[in-house]
Amino acid sequence: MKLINRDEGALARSPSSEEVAQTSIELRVNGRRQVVAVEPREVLLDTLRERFACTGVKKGCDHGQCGACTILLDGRRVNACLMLSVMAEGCDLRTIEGIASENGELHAMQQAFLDHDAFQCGYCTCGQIVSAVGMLNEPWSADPQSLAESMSGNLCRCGAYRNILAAVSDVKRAGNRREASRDEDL
Amino acid sequence: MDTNIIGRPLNRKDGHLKVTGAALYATDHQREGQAYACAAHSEIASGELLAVDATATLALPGVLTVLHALDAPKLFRCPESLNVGERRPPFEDNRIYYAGQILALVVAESFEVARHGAQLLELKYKEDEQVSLDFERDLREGKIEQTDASSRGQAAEAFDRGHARIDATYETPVGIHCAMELHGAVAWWEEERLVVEDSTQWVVGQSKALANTFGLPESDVEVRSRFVGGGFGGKLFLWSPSILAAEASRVVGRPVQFSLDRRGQFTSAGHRPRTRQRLRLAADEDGHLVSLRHEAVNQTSQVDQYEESCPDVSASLYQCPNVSISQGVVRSHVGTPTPMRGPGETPGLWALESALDELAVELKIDPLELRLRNVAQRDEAKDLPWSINLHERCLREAAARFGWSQRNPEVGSMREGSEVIGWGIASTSWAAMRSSATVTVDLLQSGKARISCATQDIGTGTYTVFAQMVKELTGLPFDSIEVRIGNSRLPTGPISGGSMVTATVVPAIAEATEKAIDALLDLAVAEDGPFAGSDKKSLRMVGGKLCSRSGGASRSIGEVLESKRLSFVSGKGEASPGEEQERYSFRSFGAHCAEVRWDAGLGRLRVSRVTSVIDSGRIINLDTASNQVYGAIVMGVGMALLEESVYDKRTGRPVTDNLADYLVPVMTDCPEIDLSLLNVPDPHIGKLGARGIGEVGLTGVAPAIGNAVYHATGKRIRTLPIRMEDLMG
Amino acid sequence: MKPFHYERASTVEEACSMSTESEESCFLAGGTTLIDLLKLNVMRPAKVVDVRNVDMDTVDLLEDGGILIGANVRNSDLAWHQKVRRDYQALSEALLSGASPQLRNMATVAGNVMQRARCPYFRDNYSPCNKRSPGSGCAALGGYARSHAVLGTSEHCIATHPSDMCVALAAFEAKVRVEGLAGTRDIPFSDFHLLPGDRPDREHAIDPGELITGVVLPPNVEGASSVYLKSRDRASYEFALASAAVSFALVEGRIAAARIALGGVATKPWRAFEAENCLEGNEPSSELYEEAAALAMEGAITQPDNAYKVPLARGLIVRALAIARERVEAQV
Ligand SMILES: Cc1cc2nc3c(=O)[nH]c(=O)nc-3n(C[C@H](O)[C@H](O)[C@H](O)COP(=O)(O)OP(=O)(O)OC[C@H]3O[C@@H](n4cnc5c(N)ncnc54)[C@H](O)[C@@H]3O)c2cc1C
Ligand code: FES
Ligand code: FES
Repeated sequence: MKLINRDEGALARSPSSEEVAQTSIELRVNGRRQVVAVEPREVLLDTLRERFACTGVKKGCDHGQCGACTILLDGRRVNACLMLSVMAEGCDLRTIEGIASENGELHAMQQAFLDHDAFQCGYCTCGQIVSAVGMLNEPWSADPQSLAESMSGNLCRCGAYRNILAAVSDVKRAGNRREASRDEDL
Repeated sequence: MDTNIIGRPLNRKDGHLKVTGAALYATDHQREGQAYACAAHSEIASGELLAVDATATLALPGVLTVLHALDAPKLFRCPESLNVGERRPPFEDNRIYYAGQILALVVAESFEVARHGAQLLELKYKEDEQVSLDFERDLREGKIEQTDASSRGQAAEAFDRGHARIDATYETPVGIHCAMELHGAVAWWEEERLVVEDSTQWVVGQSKALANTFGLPESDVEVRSRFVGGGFGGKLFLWSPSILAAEASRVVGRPVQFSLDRRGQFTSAGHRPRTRQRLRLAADEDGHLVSLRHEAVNQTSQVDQYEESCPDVSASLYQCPNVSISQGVVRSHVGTPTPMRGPGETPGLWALESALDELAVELKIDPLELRLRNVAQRDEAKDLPWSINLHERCLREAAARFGWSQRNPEVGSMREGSEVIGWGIASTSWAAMRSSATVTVDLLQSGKARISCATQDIGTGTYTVFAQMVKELTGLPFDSIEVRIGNSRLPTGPISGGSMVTATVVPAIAEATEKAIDALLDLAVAEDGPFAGSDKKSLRMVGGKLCSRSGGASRSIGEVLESKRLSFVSGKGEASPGEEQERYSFRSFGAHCAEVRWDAGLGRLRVSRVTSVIDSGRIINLDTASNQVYGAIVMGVGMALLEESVYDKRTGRPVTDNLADYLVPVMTDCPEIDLSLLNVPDPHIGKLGARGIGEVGLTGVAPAIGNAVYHATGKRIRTLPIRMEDLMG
Repeated sequence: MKPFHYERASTVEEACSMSTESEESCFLAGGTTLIDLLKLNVMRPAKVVDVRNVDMDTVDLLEDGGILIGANVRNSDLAWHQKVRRDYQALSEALLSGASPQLRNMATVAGNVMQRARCPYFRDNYSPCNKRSPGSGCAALGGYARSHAVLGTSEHCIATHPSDMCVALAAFEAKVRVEGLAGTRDIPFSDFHLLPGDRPDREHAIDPGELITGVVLPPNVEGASSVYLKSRDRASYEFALASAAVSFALVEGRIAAARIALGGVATKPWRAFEAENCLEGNEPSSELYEEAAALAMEGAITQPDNAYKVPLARGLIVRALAIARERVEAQV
């Protein structure tokens, strides 16, 4: 079969890297503001890992197919590998490194992952935890099937799903109980 | 030794680092001045690289260099005695042996520029007329190289005389490990010394292989792998990313990070090879096996002869007087295969356990009962007694927990709404092995202990199990024990493969700890020691302190060392497989029962429930051990229903070469799991009787599911994965 | 990924003029299709116009009872939207069955309508592909085509349209609102996506420089219920191998306003008009469902790997109709 390779026309028309201005953008990562100069094509996942040393954000596929790069963008979980860094300007970004409280006390989700042994190699874990924290802000019900569906955007090749589900369920149900008691107080 | 606490779960030693993102994996390491590399892979499967036009690439600002097969310093091969992913180092010559072979490497200031540069390279090929990519055609044309065969009795004659007979052929596709962490490394040189932050299941082997590749003394290579994001066999041996990172670093004189991308992972870092296996079984009227023949062929690459020894397990799992097994390979234009979780056994048991189910149907005997009748009293293949064999107990307990007695044997008879339910059973097994290890345990002035061994934790809980052992023997708190692994310069430890780490290292840790305590005792009873004049035997270590057996004051490790102004005392332990392997045969056994649900209208096939009972000797940590089996069951679901790396027959290129098309299970695919680990110490495999748990959880899962599918639908699917189209119509 | 200019538009006019300035320009919304394909070097714009700041991210109730969904509304927000869950249940179900929670938080309605094929030969950037490289051929024909289309194909392309959301939008007879420097127009959904024919590279009835600003959904038919069913190997996080969105009402025991649209089996979101006609005015029964399902799949052209899609889609239609009926009856 004949190979079709580079489309010369499109390449000729494309700007060279000198022509493309680097822009200075301010990113707010885990509460810390920092100005970085990026090319438009720089991907948020790489920026976070290389310039903010947030290496808990992992590159498992680089194409939105695994969830290892999950971060919170203004509180919503997204895949950092499918965002340009320039798109995150002015947003509040939170990575696994900023999930625990300032004094180092673990987030309930992190603690639940520890208590349920919800990982093996740990490579997907940061993405799982951040994803699960993001899930708490979404309208999922607490039954196991719904929770499993809510976490289906995070692959775990070690297959620690059973324990991850247990951890996530714990936190979700505790949250529901807290909400219920708050409603009663009102 | 007091082993009461062993087996009880403890939170993972490395857990905190893993849930906070502080655990650093290979490419998480960043060195001052680090450059980035990106590979260009071959688009053809067979031919020659004629030219590389790098003009456009080199013109990009930020590109440091381009290495390729026509212009790269030559590297050395590793000796046969060392296992490596591919014998041929990258860029050895301009031959192309498979699609996806790395042909060039672009090194640049940033990842973006390196990737862009690789996309701009113009590779000119000469494609070969003769390409072998079609496994089926090669088999038809008999292009099989026989590699192994053995037999006992008269299998052919016995088959002819059998009361019930099965003759069927089973297939398994190319499987990809898909560890979530890609193969990648950061490498740099300190003078003549090479340091690599790597992702490997064997720091020791990796550093030896790198030393050979670069022509360095072993002492000049340091491989670090403190955290490994999954291996499953894919990172047992040296693959090109570590080599190329080191090579690029040598050329540009800066640290270099290089990682395969996910697509590259599908072609250039090993896979479980495709297999075809013919099973011929015969049994007498009572269901006793009288003949078993298992002939297997697997695909291998042009450059390496990798054998997936599928039939070995068939020779010993069941009792049978007439057995013959054989193994062959077919060479294709694909990358070199490599072990993947439960190599041999995993595809082998797919065939054997499916065939047994077919035999049970033929004989009208319950498939559980058929297995019980054929449990092996001794290992007939090795002609040795079992060290211990709890196969029967596993089968009975699994069936009882699962509710097997409620099974209506009639196909398609169990229904619920629009779903038809099927129940299947299969045995699982893995040969237990030990290798050798050296461990040092230091008791420190600070009152802590430090354990050092050049092995690694790939998620199996090595950190935790090691600390647990020392805690057990010293009484020190878990947090006071530092575990140093994941560095090739530590005392030589084993490969994280074949479920061997625990069985291998645990006895060495015990010995090292005992020796360190003994050294401390020597100091304690010496002239100016805190227990001067006492008899060593009258002292013991409790709660991390020395005290007399008859009571009285206790002295901390620090106090004892202070008396000599020493910083620490050490003990060294060494373990290697004893002659036990000559006297006994060691295997882990188990049984899986699976429930599947098939909804024909929706084309939906799901595994809803799995019960597993497994004997793998003593369980050192119930949490980490169970977790591994849960994960193995999930992987088994993937193998049975989802996973297949498909190659385009015309070009030899993988088509499903990413995580959206090569489907690994997600959380919603995870069945309800009921697991029991028998936790019976193996009487002969070293100090604690632990045999390891990594593989045995997986090996029989797929056939249990396949047998359940048959029970539900009456369709016997012999080629994995089982897909909706196989069951429709 | 090659370099490109990046500009941010905050009004429709700005977006349109920024994009017409350069031939090779592309709008950017959630980025989940575009950035994926930029990395693969399959899409290579010289300029990327970010339209996320253009004010089009609300779901507005229209006077006729329908809704106008802003182009930038996130897939997850739309899926969980009260009105959508109540009146356009199939749309909510389709959205929730697509991609992953993270991707749905990023992906927009316009981006989803415009998403590109998942054919491996389109994405690999080196096989012959008429969609990517017009005139080069179609490697999927004679290749591995398990996920490819059986309806609406041509000898030049058999790539499946991958969207779930669009299948529901087709069933609800949505209109795509596009605005350009020349004005605004509403394109009926079944005219929006083009069949591959001999120009598979032309995918939409939208002109260069035109921006999708929203999707208009007509009011729901009185008493109608809808459902979306999706079939795939993995239990989640996978594109459809086949899917069906159906909707109908019962008037005096007879089917009215029947709508059937299919996903995963066709080169565009597929309306099964003949199947709808067959249902219309008849009493619901499984025989009728079977008949309609057979009509829907008539004329399918299969490849060796994807013939199963015909019975699969038929089964889904039959089941979806049965569920829709249960829902209709539960309403009363
Ligand atoms: C791993 C993975 C799995 C997925 N699984 C599914 C699935 O199961 N089902 C499913 O339906 N989808 C699935 N998707 C696809 C996903 O739904 C689409 O990528 C998404 O909807 C695109 O929206 P976006 O806003 O991110 O688009 P973008 O990537 O921003 O844009 C996509 C295209 O639309 C154009 N565009 C964007 N906005 C406008 C506008 N206002 N006007 C005109 N043109 C515009 C862009 O120029 C681009 O060409 C999956 C994607 C991934 C990566
Ligand atoms: S790295 Fe982003 S989803 Fe896999
Ligand atoms: S813990 Fe290893 S991939 Fe999830």
